[in-house]
Amino acid sequence: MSTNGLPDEIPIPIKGITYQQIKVEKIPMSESYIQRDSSLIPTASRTVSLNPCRTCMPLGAMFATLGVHRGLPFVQGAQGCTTYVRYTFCRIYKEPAIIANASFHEDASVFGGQKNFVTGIRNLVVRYKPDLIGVVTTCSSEIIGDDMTSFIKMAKKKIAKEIGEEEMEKTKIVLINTPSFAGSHVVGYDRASKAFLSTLAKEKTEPNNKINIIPGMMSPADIKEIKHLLEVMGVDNIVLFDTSDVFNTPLRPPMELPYYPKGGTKVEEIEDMANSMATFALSPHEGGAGAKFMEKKFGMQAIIGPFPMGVKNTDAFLKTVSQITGKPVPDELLDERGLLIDYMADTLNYTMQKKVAIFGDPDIVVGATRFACELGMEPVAVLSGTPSKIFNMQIEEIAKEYEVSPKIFNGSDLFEFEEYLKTIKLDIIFGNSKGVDIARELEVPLVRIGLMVWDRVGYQKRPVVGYRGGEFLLTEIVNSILDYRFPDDRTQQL
Amino acid sequence: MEQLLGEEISQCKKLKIKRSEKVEIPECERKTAPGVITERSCAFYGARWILAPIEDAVHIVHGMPSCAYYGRTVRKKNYTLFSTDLREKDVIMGGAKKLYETILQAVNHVEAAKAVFVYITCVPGVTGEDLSLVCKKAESEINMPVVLVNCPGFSGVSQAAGQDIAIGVLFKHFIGNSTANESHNSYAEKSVNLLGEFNVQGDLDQIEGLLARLGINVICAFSGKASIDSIARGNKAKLNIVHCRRTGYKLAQAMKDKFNIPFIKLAFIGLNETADSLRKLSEYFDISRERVEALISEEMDKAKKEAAQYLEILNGKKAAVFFGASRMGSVTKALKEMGMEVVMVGSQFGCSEDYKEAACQANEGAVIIDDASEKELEALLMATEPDILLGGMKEKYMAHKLGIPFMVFPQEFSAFAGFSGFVNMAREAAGLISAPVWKMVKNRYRSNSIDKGVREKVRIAVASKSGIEVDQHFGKAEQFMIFDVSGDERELIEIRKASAVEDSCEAVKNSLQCRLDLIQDCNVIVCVKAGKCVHDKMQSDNKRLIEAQGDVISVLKMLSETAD
Repeated sequence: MSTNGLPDEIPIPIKGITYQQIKVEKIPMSESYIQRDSSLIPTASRTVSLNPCRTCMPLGAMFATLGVHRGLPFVQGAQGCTTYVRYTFCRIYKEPAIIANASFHEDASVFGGQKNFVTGIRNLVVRYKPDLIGVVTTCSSEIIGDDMTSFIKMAKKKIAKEIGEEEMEKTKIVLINTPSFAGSHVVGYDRASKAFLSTLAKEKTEPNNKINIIPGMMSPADIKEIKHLLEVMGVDNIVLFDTSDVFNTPLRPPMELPYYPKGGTKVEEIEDMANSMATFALSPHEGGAGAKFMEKKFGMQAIIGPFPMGVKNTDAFLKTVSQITGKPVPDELLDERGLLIDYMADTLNYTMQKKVAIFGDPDIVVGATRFACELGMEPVAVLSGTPSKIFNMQIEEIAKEYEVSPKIFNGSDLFEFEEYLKTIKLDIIFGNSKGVDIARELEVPLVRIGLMVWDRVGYQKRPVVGYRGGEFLLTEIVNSILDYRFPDDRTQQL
Repeated sequence: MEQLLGEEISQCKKLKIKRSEKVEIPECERKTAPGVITERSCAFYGARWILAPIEDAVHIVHGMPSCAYYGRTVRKKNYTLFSTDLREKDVIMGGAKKLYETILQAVNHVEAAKAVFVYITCVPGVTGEDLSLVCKKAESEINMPVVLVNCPGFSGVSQAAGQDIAIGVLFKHFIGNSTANESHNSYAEKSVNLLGEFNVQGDLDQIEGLLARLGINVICAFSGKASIDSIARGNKAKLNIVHCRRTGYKLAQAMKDKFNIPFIKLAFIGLNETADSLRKLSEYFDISRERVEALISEEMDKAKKEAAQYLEILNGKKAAVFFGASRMGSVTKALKEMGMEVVMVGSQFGCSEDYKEAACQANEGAVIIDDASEKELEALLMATEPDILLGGMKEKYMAHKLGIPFMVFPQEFSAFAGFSGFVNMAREAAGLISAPVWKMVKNRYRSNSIDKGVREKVRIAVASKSGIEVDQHFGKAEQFMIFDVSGDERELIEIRKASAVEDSCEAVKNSLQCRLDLIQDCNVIVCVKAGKCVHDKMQSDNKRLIEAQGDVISVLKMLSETAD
């Protein structure tokens, strides 16, 4: 008898394949697996980092800057700091990403980056005439000790001399300090949200009857979905770092050169944000700092989280919006909700009791963990690549509510995660493209969620947030379970 | 201000137009100006490019986890990469101890490990911590070589610096270090190394297959198929074949000096090139002519037959090439062999030899450019209007937005080397160019020329120093770009330098006159600004003077649109 309770050699009607061969109820840990030295597995007990699940701060700040209309990031560092990120954005979104660089060479690393910065900003302003430049520092410029604030003043003065004060005023410059050793890309975005608001937001004047949304590093489709929810509610909004029409743009040549995408948050909109009714940071780790800043500076209500994924979190988001704006949640959205719940009920037989491991950036992991529980799945392991103070608490809250007990990895690398998964039973993984090798090794499907998805197409074009996003994600989950665990003759008999 | 201008001028030197009389080479291996959206990368990237495929070594990034995050993927393939994950504390207190422990721990993860590479990134590069002692200590502890790859991102002007550093490490620490007790003669008489071959999608297998049929044995391919052992045995080769000049030439030179191994620059891209390479090799190794000719004619016929249907599509199409470095020459040759015109050749960090090779092959009037920035590429693509662009991933989506098909290098699906590689490349190019989607892209630019038919030819002089933007006052213009424009077709005829005639114009007031003489055959003059006397003169000569700013192509396009 095999582990799944089926006799080993009962051939099924197609080509004599046994159930054993088609991986029904397979235990991940194969016989050939050699147990590793257990003292070297936990991140805490080793210095070596293997397969990290986070990258560095500048990426988050560059992402944010690209979400501003005609906004260009300028990276104060070596060329690779930009090129690797451009490759990453290109791989994820299949769109060009224009990011400037100070081209640090040996001289800059010794004498500081002032010359590179002033020349670089000048070239960028003259050649591209951007509305905004996000100055993104790196580990090298921070260690050298570049005084960016005075560099910016110097650059502005110099360029104003060349092209005139008025022209120079058309390009806003925002400084985002992102020394890579102090945090991950998640923190980079968080810092950017604060830097942009503290630099650009003007004092209160007239209320604009809008709400502010800082979505975090969601996909273009996710941001579109949030906007859809608000549009149906009839709530005007300002989305800060609106990448929806930046990382997903139509092919309609020729257009003006240099190429700027149509989308992005306008600088005027950011300036107007203090006049809004409230600021929502949908991803607490990505944008929470911005919302808190608005609360402190302008006395504006800040709503931090939850990540609007699944039924309860989307409910919570809409409820808060409704409370703040006084507008009821319309029937159309209740229907959307009903559709998702109907879908959940209809597919419950596939999702329930499935053991799931979830990894990625903290906010989406927390959101997906709750959604998995709502689907009747059992989260067995969750990992946040970025170390977080609230991640454990958030997961424990969900775990208590649904009576599950996932193992929590906070700020760990994927090596530790993988080694743990090898010792338990698992049905499915939710995570990004960094988990492909792990899923293959464990022979379970990988449902792709999160920012870093580049080995499949289209994940940036379909949402995972909101009720409709839930439907899409549920489709992905069920179909991948069907693909992996059911031979075609069995799915025919649905 | 002067300094800024100086840089603008120097930027221009990297662009040349091919003219038949003499091949001009753009100035290369220069620093990139900050803030221009360069396509170049850093030294760490270059070092990974070379060393990543060496699988029986432990690769440790001493720096941020992000460098390991990105550096894990090289040529679209994932490799195991460890990092020391430096934090704020380590930056201040020093990371040597952490590195030492990491080396000891990482070695446990790679069973077959025979050596350790420690990549120095920007952070330890800036703090300048001495890590050689740590490596020595670890070396004696784990009993295998632990070598520093000193490639902080800011080294050199591009990833090329990192490639040189990595090659230097292999040469200094590994080549010729074989401990196996065997005499020089135990190696086949016809054994070679391949330098600068990375086995993308089986390129190396193609080459090795061909060489094997001539009885030639490849000891080590740097670094598409290289292990610590095979690298160590590299000195036993009778000949070094330099496949990529950028990454292979320096190593070949060094191995010639130290081990007395001769080298030869060969390429296996394109039919004729591959055939030539095989002939040269057989000559060197004294292989009978019949044998090699039989091989060539068999493979050549087969490839030609298979490629015929694709070449029909490709014939007469225009291609543009923007590569990392030296493949641009051989790929340009292969494209010509496919019957295509090559209208632009460029690279991020090619050397003058590379440009010479490419420029010789490119078509008359082709643009040759070094280190083109994003905007320059866009402008050049609009100007040269290729039917396909060949280059790296970053440029792909930019080209698509302009409605230009794009072929990604390193290629994604099949080998491009050898005879059958030529067929693969032709098939892919033909598929891309003839894809239905490009006919759906509404290109106002092209449809115009169909609607309006051919119009009268107008000669336009544009005062541009950078070659990209209209950026000069008429009276002070250093050079004019001369275009022939008819309808929507533009051709850059030449660049006329004011300095060429200025010597004969001594008085300052004559400097205007000599510029007017310089462009007397032009009907339209475009510059940033011009004095009143120039305006008057133009009016009396019945010529058009346009004051404009912005990039040259947009201005020209605007002109042809408003002319209706």
